[in-house]
Amino acid sequence: MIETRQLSKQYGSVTALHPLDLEIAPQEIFGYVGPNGSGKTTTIRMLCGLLTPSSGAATVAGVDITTDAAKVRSAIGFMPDHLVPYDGMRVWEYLDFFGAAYRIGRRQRKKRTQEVLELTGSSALQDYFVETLSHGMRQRLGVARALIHDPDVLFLDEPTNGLDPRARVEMRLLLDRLKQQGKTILISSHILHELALMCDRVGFIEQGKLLVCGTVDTVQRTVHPDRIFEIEVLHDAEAVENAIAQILEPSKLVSISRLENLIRVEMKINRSEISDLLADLVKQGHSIIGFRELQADLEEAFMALTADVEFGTRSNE
Amino acid sequence: MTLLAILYKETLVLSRSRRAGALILAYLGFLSLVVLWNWPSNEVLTLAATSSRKLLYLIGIGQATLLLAMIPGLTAGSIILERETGRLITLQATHLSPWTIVIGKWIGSVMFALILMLTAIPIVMLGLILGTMDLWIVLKLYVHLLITIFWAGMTGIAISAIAKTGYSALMGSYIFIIAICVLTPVPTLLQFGGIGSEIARNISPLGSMLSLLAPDIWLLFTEPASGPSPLTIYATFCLGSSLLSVFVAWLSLRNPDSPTIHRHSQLINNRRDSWKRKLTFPFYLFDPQKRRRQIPPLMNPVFSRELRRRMLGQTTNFIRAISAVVIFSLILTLYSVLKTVDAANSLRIADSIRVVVIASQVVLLSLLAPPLSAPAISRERELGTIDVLRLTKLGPWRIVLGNWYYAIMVSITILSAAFPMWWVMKTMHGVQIESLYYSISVILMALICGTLAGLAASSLCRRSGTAIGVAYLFTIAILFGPLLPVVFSDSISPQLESRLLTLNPIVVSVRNISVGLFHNLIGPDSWKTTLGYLGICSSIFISITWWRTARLFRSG
Repeated sequence: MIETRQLSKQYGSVTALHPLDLEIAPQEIFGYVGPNGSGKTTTIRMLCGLLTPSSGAATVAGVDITTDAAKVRSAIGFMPDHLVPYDGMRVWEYLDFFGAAYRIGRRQRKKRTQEVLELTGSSALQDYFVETLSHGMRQRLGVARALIHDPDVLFLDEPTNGLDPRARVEMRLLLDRLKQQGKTILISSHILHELALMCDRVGFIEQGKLLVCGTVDTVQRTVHPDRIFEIEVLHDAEAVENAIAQILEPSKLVSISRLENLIRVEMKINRSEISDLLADLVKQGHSIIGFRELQADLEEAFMALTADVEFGTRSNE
Repeated sequence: MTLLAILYKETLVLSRSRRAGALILAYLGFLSLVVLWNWPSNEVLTLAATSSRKLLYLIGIGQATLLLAMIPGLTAGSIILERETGRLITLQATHLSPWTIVIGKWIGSVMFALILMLTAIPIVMLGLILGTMDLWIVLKLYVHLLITIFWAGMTGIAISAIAKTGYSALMGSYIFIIAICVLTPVPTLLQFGGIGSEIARNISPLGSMLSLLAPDIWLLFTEPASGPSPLTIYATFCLGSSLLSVFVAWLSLRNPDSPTIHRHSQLINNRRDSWKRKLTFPFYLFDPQKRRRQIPPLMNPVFSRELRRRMLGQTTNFIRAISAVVIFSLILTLYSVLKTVDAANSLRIADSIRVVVIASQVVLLSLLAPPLSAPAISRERELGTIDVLRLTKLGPWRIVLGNWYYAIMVSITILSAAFPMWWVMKTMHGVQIESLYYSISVILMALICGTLAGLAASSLCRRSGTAIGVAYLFTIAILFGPLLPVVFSDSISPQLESRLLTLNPIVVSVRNISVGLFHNLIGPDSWKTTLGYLGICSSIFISITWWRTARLFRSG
């Protein structure tokens, strides 16, 4: 649905985006992660046809952004990070205006307005003046506006910024619903645990360079290739600790530690070996009451990947 | 100490902006042109007083006009923008008292205007080379400018403190200052004599500047009256007004809550309730609470949006503006009916009334047009909505036209509230109905030109405040610039004077409908030339708007 080939952007001597190769499949939620000024917004604006790339090519919904930016613009929905809605208008008037701006007929516009209000859970707000809405409500209105012409691709720039926990959960549920409706979504954010929960794949960008791209699990594995497990036992944790050390070859056991009845093991083993280990422990008569893999934190992964970047050397977005 | 902190911050922020450099260049460029234009061309430095005096008039009036055009832009946002962005509360949370904030903002904002005034001193000194320039008058001129800067700055701060939005603060400041400049000399223009009229005209910064530099000009309209000097009257007014403004701003800042706009989500959806509201005070002809229909298929969506947001959404302000124009035109009508009864002076009085009617129409449209159209593009950029609009199928042309339709519609609606004035003109002795139509067409063309000037400024400037300031400068230059020959007729040839006057909508409209005014200077068909001139200016403005907006849409 979205594909870039060596897409880059240069502002004079400053490189805002180094050649970028990226592919996002239909109905995928892709998280674009990076600190402020890393090149996220530049990428999104280029993909929306709002900014001309310095070099490279990209297609969005099958349309080339360099040769047919106008067509791209009407095929996508975009929610900028900083958008102040027009004051003095009611919510439905605001959506009606954007519907008319996309040249949607009156009947269709009325129907579509109701649909997006319903989809975003904003039906009760339709007669409110937009300036009276809370930040969370405005963000939902922003998504409703981006959806008014029913685009296949959505670009959401920092949609969860400044939202309270409840509004964040609501936004996550909304994005899930949109995915189920067949939308492809590129979402930029620097709230990483939110992205880990809602995205199929994520890409880390820093100083205009894409550092890593893949599923959340893959990205985490890039930083922590070893698997970390927590094993909870009913009693005699020391015996279990010794048993694990005996079962596993020394080259596969990275570290092992114990705190009361909880044992933490870092191992270089595959899925079938994990199964074998658990079976062996049970066969030896150890009372295992918990066996779970610890997921590496996305934030931790991001910090590890960007550890070499010096503060203050970021390129301008 | 805390006052110094505020002052330091304000000056630092302003001096670092690119706008500051551009303003200094524009300001000095204008004044340098004035000097060059008036420099004796016969290679002999004249000792005649006229050359140096002319230069002084131009520098005085020119500097006062430029500073008055800039100061609202510098001050009107100073408190309301802090409030809107939530920064004011952080200032209030510190040890800074409301008094310190007001004074700090005031001095910080006018600091730049003071710098501008000081940078122009070498240019004024050049005028001294011409000789016979009275140093005492120069000093008085600078005292006047200094008072003007502090008064206009404090007025802007007070309006900023009580305004509900940045836009209303800016518009309110410009309208208040321009109204003081041009409305207070009206009694003198209507040939009211006496001390009251003299005091009123000297309240105006431009009126008192003229009294200071060229007192003879007022004698064309009224008998000499004895009283305090123009500078004393002006200084007293400015002092009183500034003290009141300080008090208003201080009072507003004492209250940490920001003034909020009343917006009710309640909706009047049935006909009975709607009519009930129409028939009770404040008689909602355009009810902000009433449900409005969808945007019709053939209507420009931007026009419809502006209509809903700014006219129907803020009905009270719109009705206030119309009421003010109706009241003013009724007063003028009543006055003219009473005055023209005196047969001995009826012709002279009738011509004076015509001047006031035409001038007030042009002043009204020059007040209205720029703020209506100037935020069109710049406001979209400030809100961040320009990118969203670029994604729609609207295109730059429809966005520009939608905003322009709105500006034209509102201006014409408000101007039409001045209908009683046109009725007076029609019934006056010596007016032919065709001439009246010619004058109306010139005024309408001036309105088109003024609104397009606003659009051009909007496409050129990133901020609405700057855009409104630039739009006012454009409009004032086009509508009032060709009036300069009236004051400085001895510095240019009669042919050039006639040509320049032909370009002025006020002069041409007055010539068409008066019995004797300007008949010796311009011909009866001069209205066609004026229409052509305003048409060319409009074409330039629309080209600038189109070029800039299309570019903005292409590249962002």
